[in-house]
Amino acid sequence: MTNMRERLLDPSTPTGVGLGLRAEFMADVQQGLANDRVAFFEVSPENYMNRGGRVVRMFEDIAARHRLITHGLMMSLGSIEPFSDVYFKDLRGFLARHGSSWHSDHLCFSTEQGAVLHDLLPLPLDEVTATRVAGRIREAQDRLERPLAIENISYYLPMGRPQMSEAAFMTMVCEQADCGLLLDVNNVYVNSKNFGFDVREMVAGYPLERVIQLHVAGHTHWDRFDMFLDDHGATAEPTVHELLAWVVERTGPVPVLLERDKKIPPLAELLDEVTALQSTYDQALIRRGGAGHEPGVASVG
Amino acid sequence: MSVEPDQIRSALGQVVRDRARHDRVVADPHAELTALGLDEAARAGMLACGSQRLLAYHHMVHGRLFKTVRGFLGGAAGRLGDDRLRADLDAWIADPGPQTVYLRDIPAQFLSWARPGWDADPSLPPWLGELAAHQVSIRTIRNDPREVGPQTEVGIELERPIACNATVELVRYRWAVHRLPTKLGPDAEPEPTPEGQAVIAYRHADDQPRFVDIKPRSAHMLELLIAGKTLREALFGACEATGETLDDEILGVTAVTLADLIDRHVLLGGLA
Repeated sequence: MTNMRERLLDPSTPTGVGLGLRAEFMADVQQGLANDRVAFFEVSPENYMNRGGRVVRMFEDIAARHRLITHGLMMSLGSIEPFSDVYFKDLRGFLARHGSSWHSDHLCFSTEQGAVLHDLLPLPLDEVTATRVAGRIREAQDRLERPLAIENISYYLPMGRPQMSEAAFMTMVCEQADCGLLLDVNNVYVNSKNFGFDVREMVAGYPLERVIQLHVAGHTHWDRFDMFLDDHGATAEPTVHELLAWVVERTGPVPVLLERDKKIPPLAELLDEVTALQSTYDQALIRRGGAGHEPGVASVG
Repeated sequence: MSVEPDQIRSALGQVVRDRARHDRVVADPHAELTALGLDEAARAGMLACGSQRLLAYHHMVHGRLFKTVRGFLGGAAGRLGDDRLRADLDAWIADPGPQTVYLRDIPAQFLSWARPGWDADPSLPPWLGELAAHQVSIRTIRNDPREVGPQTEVGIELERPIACNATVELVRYRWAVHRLPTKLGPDAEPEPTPEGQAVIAYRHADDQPRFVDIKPRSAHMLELLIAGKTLREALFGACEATGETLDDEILGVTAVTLADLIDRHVLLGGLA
């Protein structure tokens, strides 16, 4: 069985807890208020590609002083339309300057008959779709000339009658595409709340040997539609800490990202949450060491 | 024979895009999913948690795009009203919909589709489309990928082109929408633009978008300078366009104008 971490994580890979870079606190980061508080910043290339002005200059300044991991939003791996040559050209250019040893995007579709819908829409969980999407991921990896990690999404709707679980679907896709897994434990948790399955059992079903990065976040209840929404609008719940720890005990050191996109508090509060997650992460690694697991890639974070 | 997975994916996509399909799902979800080609098993799966989950995706997509467009349109969106903006946006998302992966570029795409309808609508102020375009241009200029560039510190010469700030565009508004306050009062109306006058729209070296009125002859001259003409060509071309004869007074005014444009970082100086 292939351990993707041995292939993709190297001594320059930041491990430990990082933070998603957002416009709301870029100026604070530029002023050094996050120095030595985060292992890395995760950035979405689409926020800076094909753009100039103050925001990009701030980003370039931050990029020069912090380690970055890239995470895309708009590849639409599950769509049936051909990939955009222009998008991949711009992305390749961005990754050449700011990319790490892999790039990531979501296992979803975002376009419909040419329209770009700017959301992460779920795919039918079946073998035909898995095979088709795996082919798209291989093509994307070839176009980018670097490996991809695929993130599991939160979803609110069964796409027809599922043939398999989300974990089995992800496993099939990752195996066929030979790609990495960006495991978002909050997304699995949100799905478990919306669909009533056992979250620990589901997380355990994901191909953990392919995990090269984790995402954690909080979520809220959308009263209008009576469902839990993965809006990254709250602090991560204790269950998310537990899931993070459970996975890290099995993977060893990996980059872990805290996402916050709604109701963004002052940077100091976010950094306190990073510290709390780092504590969870560190304790998990200690338990992993005590349990005699094989050592993972050395942490430099 | 079961439904192809792509048909299920497409069904969600169509309900997300099309307000009419959304409304038909509200009325009779099974009938609408049948119309979208889904068989009983696929319909049962998709509606297992209730049709609300299907509708939620429609609202997430439309809500995000509405918020983005309304924010970019500023006072123009306020004057248009949320109901009209939402209806137009719904129609646009259904067909043709956004064609860009950059969320920041969506308001301009939407506006290029919606503006002909607004300009032709007698129930709306005739300047509303122009104000909307101006509001969107503020963000476009701010995010323009072209570099502003530093001053060249080289003197300008009559027989050579002049270096221009790459973000400079000459805009010819029919109304002085750029002079309206950010918080648009209910009675606010822009003045008509004087004949031939234009507006220089650009990003300054301090990263802020700027809008500067420029008189007809100078506007023609700047247009030609942006096109790469020499100062002599630009000057004579501008006089030809305005039907004037170049004289000492025009030369004097031009010298002051060029100095002002360099000072404002519209022009960057002589080419090295």
